[in-house]
Amino acid sequence: MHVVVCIKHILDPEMPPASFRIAEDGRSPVEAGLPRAIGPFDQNALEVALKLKDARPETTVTVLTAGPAEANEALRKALALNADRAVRVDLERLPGPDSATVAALLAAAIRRLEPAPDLVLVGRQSGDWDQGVVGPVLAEKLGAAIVGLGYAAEPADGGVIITRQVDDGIEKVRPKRAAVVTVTNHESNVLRLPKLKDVVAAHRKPIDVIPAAELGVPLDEPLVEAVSLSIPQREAHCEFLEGEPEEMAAALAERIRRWLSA
Amino acid sequence: MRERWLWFGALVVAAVAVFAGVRWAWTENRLGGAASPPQTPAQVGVGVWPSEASAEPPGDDPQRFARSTFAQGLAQPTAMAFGRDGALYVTELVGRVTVLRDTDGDGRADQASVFADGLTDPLGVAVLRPGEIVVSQRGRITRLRDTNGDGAADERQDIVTGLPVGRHQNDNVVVGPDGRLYWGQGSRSDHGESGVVPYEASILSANVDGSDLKVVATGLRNPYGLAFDAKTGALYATDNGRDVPDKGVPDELNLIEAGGDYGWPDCWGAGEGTHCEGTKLPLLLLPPHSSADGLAVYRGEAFPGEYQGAVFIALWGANDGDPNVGRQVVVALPPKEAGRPWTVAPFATGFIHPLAVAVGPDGALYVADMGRNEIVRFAPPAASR
Repeated sequence: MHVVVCIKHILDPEMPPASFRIAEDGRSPVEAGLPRAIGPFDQNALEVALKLKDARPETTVTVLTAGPAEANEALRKALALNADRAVRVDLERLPGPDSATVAALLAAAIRRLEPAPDLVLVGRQSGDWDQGVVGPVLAEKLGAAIVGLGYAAEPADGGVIITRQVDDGIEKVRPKRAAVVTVTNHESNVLRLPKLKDVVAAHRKPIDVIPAAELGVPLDEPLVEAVSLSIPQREAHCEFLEGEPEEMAAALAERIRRWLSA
Repeated sequence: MRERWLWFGALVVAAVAVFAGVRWAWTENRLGGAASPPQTPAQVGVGVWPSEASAEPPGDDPQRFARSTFAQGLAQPTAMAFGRDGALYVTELVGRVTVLRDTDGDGRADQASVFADGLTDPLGVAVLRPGEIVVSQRGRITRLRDTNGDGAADERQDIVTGLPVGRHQNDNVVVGPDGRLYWGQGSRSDHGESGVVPYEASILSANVDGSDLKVVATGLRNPYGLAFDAKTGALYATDNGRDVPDKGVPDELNLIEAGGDYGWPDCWGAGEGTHCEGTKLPLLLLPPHSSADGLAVYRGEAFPGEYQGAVFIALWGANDGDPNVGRQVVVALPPKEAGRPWTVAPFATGFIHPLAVAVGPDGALYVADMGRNEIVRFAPPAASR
């Protein structure tokens, strides 16, 4: 079985909120020098693939991303966790294209892979822009089945069974052909941690790089573009009431009445 | 009668000579420091771990230590060493050495420059003098020098090559009190399943020009961290225990004695496994699969006196997949009474993968967290600036 996991190298969601700043263009974040990580749901997708490999060691896991050379760090982390192959669609320009274009690039890259994958796993949303577009568009571009919000996979009769959380229970589905699964988080698919020796070894493993221009996908025709990005402003006021206790209590009651009637 | 006294005198002289010889051997086969008798299994220390520890680790208590970020945005830092000028040289797994400087003394690096790149898996760095360093990279020891003062190395020489690599490689490198280089050389395999070749699983030493390569000690599977005690000259090394059997093989802190055999591939821990006769016991057992790596001996002046001679050890952690194992910095304390075991306890948590530890010229403790690509600084609140 050949499993492809699409991952995105994003600003680390766990970095201190104060580190998040808006770039001068007013529609993208400042990214230079800030910590990055594999998107949280992409981490879950990678763990689902690695568990399939644990169950069937002959399974081949390919990790795929679209991004600049810095995204190699995410691919090397996956290689350190026993992924077999890493492929990067080279996107040197930032900010990158819109989600639908990224999905088209990933689909074009997947079509180049040999053997053709049996399963494509992708986080249910990227963890930064959180649009949740890539998975469904990818399935459409590949002509593949799609399973939404899966959290586990198990080999079965030459295929795979996907476990999904639904409102009133757990559902298991079997795709009848190659499928794209959008993966959600679950206690069973927290990404494992690498060994130091495997992290070191991952730096000697090759990463296949495909120039985006080779994939025949228009990069300058976004269907959606960010117009602005802003950080919610929180206003806080602090006032110290002074005087005798009766005076302070009266002043406080008056202010509460004012706030309630505002 | 006179003849009997002569025989007795000769015996006394011989006994003194033998005793002195033993004492000499104890002294000579240690790498500095006071002589001590061999360890016994009862003297091997065992740690208290977070699930058992009742107290908050001191490094997590802001009343005791101020924790701050010294530098961010590194690319997988593996080792650190301070120069006499206060510059911190950091090896990064991407093949780079970055120099960090805190020019305004606020406890945060405000200058960063690339000293060298194009290296392969650098896991150790030692500073010979400002602008001249030695790097331990995969299979070789390389000396780099900035001859024109532009802050980047323009002279590069492999001084030792052909070191055995495989599962592990050559690790941290340090300069000893004798001016020689010392480094840990990891094994090519987990437990010797591909044989054992010269120089693997050992502590090696050479002159700073690479000449006179010697084996100092053997039987250390992967002695990632290495540090001399600046006061006593004692050499300490961590060691990562084998994966087979998959349960119960501890990591270790070892006191390195010249000519010592530390047991790998067959013997581990406090005399477990086979072929343990004549092997050296560790000072401390650390949790199995915790991946005890970088270490530093504290001889700074900023920390409370109880930390004098303490060994801080970074536990990368989770080498068996359990996220609760390691992923912290522990502190090993020497016994207050001779013959008692060392003790060890958590010092600070909250890391993803701590790997390197260094004591700065300001007496602060610096920890490189590869998982966050940052360096964290610990100092007592009064000294935290």
